[in-house]
Amino acid sequence: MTDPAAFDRDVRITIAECIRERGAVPSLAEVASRVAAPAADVADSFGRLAAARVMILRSGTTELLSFNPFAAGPTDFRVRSGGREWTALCAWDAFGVAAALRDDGVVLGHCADTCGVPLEVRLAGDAVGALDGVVMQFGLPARDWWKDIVFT
Amino acid sequence: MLLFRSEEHARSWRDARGFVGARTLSLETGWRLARAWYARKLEPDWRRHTVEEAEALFADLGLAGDFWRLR
Repeated sequence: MTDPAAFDRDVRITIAECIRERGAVPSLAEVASRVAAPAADVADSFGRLAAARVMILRSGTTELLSFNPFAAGPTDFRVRSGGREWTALCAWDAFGVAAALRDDGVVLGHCADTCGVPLEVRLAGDAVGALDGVVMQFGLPARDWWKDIVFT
Repeated sequence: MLLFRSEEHARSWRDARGFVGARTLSLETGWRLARAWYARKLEPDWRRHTVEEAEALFADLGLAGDFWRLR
């Protein structure tokens, strides 16, 4: 690998291809196989891409937690879009899944207050359908989002 | 970024946790924000928004004030 920036671009594009083709965020091993590079090089690339806030790694690992807005495993937010079911780390990302797929979507979550009532949000074109009164809330100001992005 | 049954539930959550500066958004604005932010994420030529672009994007959606500043 002579050009880390070019390699990181290949890695990013490969992750996006996996998401489009398989409907899933890939493992490091899958990305390494697809780009025909040593896992150590891909791990370094993952680290650079995470540092550049392109994606989030699982704490203490070199595996993806989220190629935002697409989460790599079960979360509190599920999204039906593009003929598949996805997960997302937060409500904004859940909406972002349908946005990135450029499709309509249905977000399944719950009220984060103590009631925990299930909430369904339908995203269709420019329209949004949900129970009257449902809102999204940002707890932290924008400049603090990436200080602890998993919490955010 | 979480979902709440109502403004009242959002207020209860932020009061219980001391997030006095939290902001609620309508789902319509959240959807517009998500489309503006993520529409190109899977594209080969995607790149992160610059700080200036992100602040302009917020402003276009009416998200103004200190809460939405990035610097």
